Amino acid sequence: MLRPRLIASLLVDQQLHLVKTNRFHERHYLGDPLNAAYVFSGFEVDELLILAIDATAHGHCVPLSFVESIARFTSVPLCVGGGLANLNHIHELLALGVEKVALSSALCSGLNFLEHASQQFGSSTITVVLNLCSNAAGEPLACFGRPSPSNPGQPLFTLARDCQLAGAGELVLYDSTRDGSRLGFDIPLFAALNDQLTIPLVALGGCGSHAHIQDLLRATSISGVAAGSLFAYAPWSQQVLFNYPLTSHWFTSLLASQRELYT
Amino acid sequence: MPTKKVAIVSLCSGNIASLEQAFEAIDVTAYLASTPDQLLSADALVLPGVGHFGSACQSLTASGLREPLTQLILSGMPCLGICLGFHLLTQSSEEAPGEVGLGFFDLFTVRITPADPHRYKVPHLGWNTLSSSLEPPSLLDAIHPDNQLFYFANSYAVVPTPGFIYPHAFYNHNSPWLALVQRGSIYGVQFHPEKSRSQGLQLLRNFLRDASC
Amino acid sequence: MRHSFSNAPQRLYQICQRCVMDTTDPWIQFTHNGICNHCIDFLANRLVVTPYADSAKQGDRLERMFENIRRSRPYGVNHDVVIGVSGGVDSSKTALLAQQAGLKVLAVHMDNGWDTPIALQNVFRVVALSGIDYEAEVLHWRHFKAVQRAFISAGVPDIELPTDVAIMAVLHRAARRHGIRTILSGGNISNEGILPVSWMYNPRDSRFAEAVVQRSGLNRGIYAPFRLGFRQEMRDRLWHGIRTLYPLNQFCYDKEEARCELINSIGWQSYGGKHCESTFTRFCQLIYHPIRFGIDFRRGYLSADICLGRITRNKALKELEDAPWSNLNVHRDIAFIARKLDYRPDELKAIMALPPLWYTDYPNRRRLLSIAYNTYRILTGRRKASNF
Repeated sequence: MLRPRLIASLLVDQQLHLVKTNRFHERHYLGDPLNAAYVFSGFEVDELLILAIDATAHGHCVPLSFVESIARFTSVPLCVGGGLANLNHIHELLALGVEKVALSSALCSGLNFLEHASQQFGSSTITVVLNLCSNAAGEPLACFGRPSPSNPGQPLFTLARDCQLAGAGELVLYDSTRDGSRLGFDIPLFAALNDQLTIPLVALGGCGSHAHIQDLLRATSISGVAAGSLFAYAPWSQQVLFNYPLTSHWFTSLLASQRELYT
Repeated sequence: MPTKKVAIVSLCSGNIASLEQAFEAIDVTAYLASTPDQLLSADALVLPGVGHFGSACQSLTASGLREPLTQLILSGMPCLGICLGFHLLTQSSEEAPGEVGLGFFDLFTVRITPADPHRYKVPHLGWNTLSSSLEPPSLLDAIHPDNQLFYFANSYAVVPTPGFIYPHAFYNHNSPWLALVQRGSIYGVQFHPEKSRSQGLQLLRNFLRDASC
Repeated sequence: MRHSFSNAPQRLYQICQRCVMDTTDPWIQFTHNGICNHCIDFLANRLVVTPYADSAKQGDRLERMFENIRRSRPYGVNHDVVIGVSGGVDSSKTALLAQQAGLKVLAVHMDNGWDTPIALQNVFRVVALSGIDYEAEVLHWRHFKAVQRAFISAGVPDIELPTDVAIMAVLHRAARRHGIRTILSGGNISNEGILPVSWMYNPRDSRFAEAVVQRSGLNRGIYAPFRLGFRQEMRDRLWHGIRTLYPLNQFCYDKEEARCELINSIGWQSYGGKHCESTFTRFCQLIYHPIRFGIDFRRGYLSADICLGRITRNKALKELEDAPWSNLNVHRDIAFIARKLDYRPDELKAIMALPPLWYTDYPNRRRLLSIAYNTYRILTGRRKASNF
């Protein structure tokens, strides 16, 4: 039985500082991303999602030497993104030992790039990150790349369906409205979206506790739950303490007890 | 005792970096082989995991590796096919209908099309458990049944056929698929042992256990 | 920068006949019958600070220390003590003792960019105990890396000094910030009582540290957040009333016993080797020091063990026969250290092949500090239990 993945999310800025964001704005300095990746690899995370969040704004791809270091000193499945804009970027990242690349901003101008990437490299290597930018009643809007006045959202469900049709292997829905809040997920939204899709969906943004994860898994058989704050801070604090094993053990027990739900 | 050498067959795509690292972690030298000589000087062969069935077949032919590879495997050099590499060892794949696999396993690779596609997603991504109905394959030696959890990333899968006699193990995604097959010194795994923690490394060790040195 | 050669004395090899300290400390002295100054000093001066010298005196020393701490907590301050937690045995044991005694603990972890997964899991377990609050200070990695590089290119063994200074600065900052009077340290004579000055010079000598930093051309401002310095330390002690106490010296501390207790009580995990909660420390003690200086830290720990009757000299010598790095993947460790510090592996290896320098080759205030500390001890009636 395929298990839902418990994914650790790491964000790096233009200076390759590890940061934690709040609603995609404030940034909290967390230190060296290479050591963080090494630590989470030692924690045997199900998967590590690494996004260079300033790459597009500065007109380049996530630095290859940085990705090479990460791949060299970790042994966990990696999904890496940030400023990927052409097939060559993807080819180089995959050659470094990354399982999947994450596309977002490059898709603002259309999904041709996604189609070509999926055809060339196989959909299982292509993840699309959609940012949920507003969630006013019944009208969830999402966009590729950073939400802004010049990058307004489009209806989430349409966008998601289009990505699926264009060959995305996986969708990460990053809830910018709850990012860093630790208020939990918008469960009805994720459940509805997951039911609509035939490709895997990963939830990111807002996870603050085990209860949040449990509630989401009860509502829908989502493919993955990603978290930043939960794994970067000591429980219920803003003090940095990378952690994962406790949550992982709890997660394994939870899945074992839920096994009767999956035949 | 001299270190064992593993040749990773060049399929002109995808990454071998993770594989090289995994072999390094178990004190084995792994290198990319793009000529017949490089294949010959190895103790064991690996057909790596990422890419497209069609391009991989064409690449094997174009590089002149297909024949020497086939001969080496027939002569008994241990060979492990990982993910796409596993598919290459089968007869054919729906991913590239015109192409012919190496055919060492009398099996077929098909696109996963679940009866309930909203419940069972494709690609099949993440950690799944293995089960063996018969005697567990020796590739899983020293891996506790509770720890037979491996990392998968596939849209195509190898179909179990009734009466398949060689040691094998399944994974389940709406229906059972072949996770692992072994026939003498030829092995195929659908998952990525190089990213599957200590159990993955143990599997690689098991693979090399019988490789000559 | 042209590499200069050391003014350290050139010695013929000699090893102590009682412990296992040898001329890898270039300033070691021997009596006419071959006993070294380290074990003499340890037994005569260091050990008396602990009940090891007379275990009948152990009594309730620890409880009296904790009672004193409780009584000296200022009104309105929420914690009795600050404890730096690294995930290692000593700091974890210190935190456990304080917690069990009912003290309100502020546990502070300093992230210097070199944490290991096991160390962080241990920190997590410690700070999950009731009565323990947690704070972290994440050093600015790029700046800290520059300081570490400066010490490596300085050619001295003291490449851990930046971390040792920084942790003092961090703990003092935490104490000042919260009005806490007491810092509890996991430092202990029982294991660390024998450690030559040449192997690990005084982290508090900012003159030395700044000379190293300056030589590398690094901006002083970069170094500032990582330093404590003598003046600040005295201000903290005399004005803020901040003092550092050593609970593990108040009883016959046995590290192995503590390790077992931690494993059983809080699920603490071991990682093999002392001080290996940091990949940099592991590199320093097991690879860098032995290769560049011939220094084997195990000599110090084992010599203390010999003096305490925990191990025979023959067994200690047997242990030292295996290279310190024999359980490591040296190639991989060097690759990681090099990558983190922006060296190519061959560059780092080339640096390690250069002739050694020592603290004496740099401006330092050893004499002055010695006078100052001795005066302080006379005034406060405290014993000299360290090298400085």
